[in-house]
Amino acid sequence: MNGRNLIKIVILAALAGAGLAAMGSALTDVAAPMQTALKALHEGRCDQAEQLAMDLATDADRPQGRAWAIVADARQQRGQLDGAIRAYRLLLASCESNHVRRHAAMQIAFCRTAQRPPRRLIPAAKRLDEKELAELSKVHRQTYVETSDHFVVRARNPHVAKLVATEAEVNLDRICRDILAGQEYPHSVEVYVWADSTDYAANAEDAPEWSGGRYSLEKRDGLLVRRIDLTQCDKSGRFAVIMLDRVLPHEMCHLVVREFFGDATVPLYLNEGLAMLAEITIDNDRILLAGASVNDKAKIALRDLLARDRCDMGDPALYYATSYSFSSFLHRRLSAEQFKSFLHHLKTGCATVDALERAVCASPDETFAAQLAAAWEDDAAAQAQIVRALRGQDEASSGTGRN
Amino acid sequence: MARKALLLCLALSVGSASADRLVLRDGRTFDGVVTVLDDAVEIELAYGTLRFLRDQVRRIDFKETPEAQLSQKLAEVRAGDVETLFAVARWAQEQGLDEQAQELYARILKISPSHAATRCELGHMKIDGQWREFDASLELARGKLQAGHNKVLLDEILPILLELAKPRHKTLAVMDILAYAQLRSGRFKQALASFEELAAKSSAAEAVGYGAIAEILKRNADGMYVVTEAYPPKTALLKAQGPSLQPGPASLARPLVLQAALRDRAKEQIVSGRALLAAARSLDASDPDAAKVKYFQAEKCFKRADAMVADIARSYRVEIARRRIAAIRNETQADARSFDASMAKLGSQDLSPKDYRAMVLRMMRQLDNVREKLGTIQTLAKPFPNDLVLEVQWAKADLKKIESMREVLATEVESER
Repeated sequence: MNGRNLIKIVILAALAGAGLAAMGSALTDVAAPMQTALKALHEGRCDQAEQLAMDLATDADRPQGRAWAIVADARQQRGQLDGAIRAYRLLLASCESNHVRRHAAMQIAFCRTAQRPPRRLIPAAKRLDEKELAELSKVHRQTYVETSDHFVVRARNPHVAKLVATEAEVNLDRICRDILAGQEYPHSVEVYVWADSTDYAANAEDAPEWSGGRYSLEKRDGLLVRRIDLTQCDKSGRFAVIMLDRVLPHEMCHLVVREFFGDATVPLYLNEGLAMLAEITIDNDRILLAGASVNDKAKIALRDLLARDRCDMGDPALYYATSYSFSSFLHRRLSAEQFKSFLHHLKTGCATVDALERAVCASPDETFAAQLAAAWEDDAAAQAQIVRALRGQDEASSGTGRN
Repeated sequence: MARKALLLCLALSVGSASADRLVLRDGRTFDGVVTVLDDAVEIELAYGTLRFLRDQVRRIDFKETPEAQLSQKLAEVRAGDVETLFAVARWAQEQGLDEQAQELYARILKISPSHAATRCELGHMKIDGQWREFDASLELARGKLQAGHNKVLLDEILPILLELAKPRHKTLAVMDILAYAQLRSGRFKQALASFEELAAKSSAAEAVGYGAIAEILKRNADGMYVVTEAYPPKTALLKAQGPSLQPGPASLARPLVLQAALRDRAKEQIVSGRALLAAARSLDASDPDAAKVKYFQAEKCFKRADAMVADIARSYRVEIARRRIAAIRNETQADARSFDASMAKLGSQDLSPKDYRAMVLRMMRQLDNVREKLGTIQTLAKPFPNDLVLEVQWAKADLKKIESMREVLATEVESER
């Protein structure tokens, strides 16, 4: 072998080596730039992360569709929601993984909600004017029947019947969607609006005297009859707006929850808590009472709240306030999917703490109950503080604070 | 004669480690352990023992025992000659004199604490300027992994530790650190290969966990994982302090991201298990055998989930055990009723001695049947002693009752005989 040939072989070997090295780096360089972009994102350098990921996603030779996840996240973090939605859509279109697609779809929904938050329901008390209230206060001899998708409403005022049917649908939709995380309710409910408390007491069977409404679920001739009884006017003969804003959604929530649980026992705190949560008007006094009780000797500790099966023991107002506070805490802190899962686990017989651990899909922890109690008490105190601050603002703006 | 006896004694004591040579008059030669008998000579060979008459033997060459050779070698070592001493120690080790070899290594380290070859033979490793035993080095490596010192682990510590681990059968423990160090330093391909190897070589439960990580790395070759829920899972509910993840893309090199990915995989198993559990529940009353199969399948899913994230599906496994125990208790109650009926018959009917005996034996078999079922209850409850306290107590009490009843019946059978 002469020297020239040897040089040729060396050069060829070097080229082959370089080629293999290039191929090797081509195989590994998928991860490296992606990691650089992720690092930038993690460190809050969203501009840089977006640019790096965009280069990867739009690479002419080897586009990396998964990089759209970084682009979208970077935009979302910066509040560029339209851009984020566009990137999530591109991610959806280029992704093979089911769980990534689910993430993209969920984030698109989040972005849309952030762009257009759902309209808050205006309570009837604020919505109805004096003229309408006067019309709704009238009690006729005749009973008027109004029907909707789920309700057959009977009242002695055609406007009341119509209004209750409309409100009932709105509330049912809200309870099933927002509170019970997408629970279906394919049933029909009879709603009776009695003229006043006397009329109500005479017709609503087994209803406590003090109550302004009740629900019932009875088997009659083999049929399951769902019924809600309400009162049209208060003691002074005025239309009881509280019936629309609080009593109707409260009783309806009891009915839906009861049907959801079937033969299983609904924990009392949750039954009452969810019903209060369903009310359109929030009772701030409950929040204040629950918040104040946290540091009070008379407080109802979480373990006692979860164990109670009667609410007439001790202080019912505190029991209701505490039930509302804890149910509201769970509803706010858990995702819709987790809350739904929590209800399902309760239904299969789990205790609240176990159902929660299952719902969040976490390993069991002996200290969880104590941590949960502490987190809820902190939340109750914080919520009460917010209400106090808002009241202070209201008083200051109306001038009462100065007097 | 005395010397012969001594040599024979030595030959027997060292066993096959020493090799005596037996030369026969016909020229044949055998190496083994020679025993001199009154009129014959026996030689123990690897494949058996041969016996020759004294007349057939020309010569026996008794070899020195390794211990004697070791003493001789040590006598020749000059004081402070560490290298020769090391050579003798290695020789001793080769001869199977492990205890003596360890003593010699210890002697060397007293003279020269940094004698690298000796340290190496002992499985010691120098980390951060300090020599450590293998187990201590392994623990330190784990600490460095937790501290994120991945480069020093991958470049300096783990290659040596891996070599040291081989003769100690601790390769998997080092491989585990290696795989995580590779992952955390972004060497995803290498990490994938390591986790695949770990999955192939580990025990069943551990293999599930390693296999799941390998699968995650395979599906996310770019090292990016899209986290779909806040992690740790209780973060949002408890607003707990500490590091956490929000939904979004993140690097699998971050330990928390891998944990979130593993939890997602475990959750998939839980979802499958829950569906099977629901099917089993619905079959409980109508078809207990089919229900049992579903429970078994569900339990497999939950066990896989637990292998990925410790105890994540424990409560479901407790539920399965509880439900299966309840079903068995129902069966035992039916058995108890049948037993009571037999008992009533035994007391009220006029039976011939033969029939009476047959009846008592049948009742004993019924009790044995119940005892077996109670044993199954105890087996089911065993992994969850704190969750299934009542179930265990009931089974124990019932077993006690059954034992005493069986004893009465057995006495009755004996007396009838």
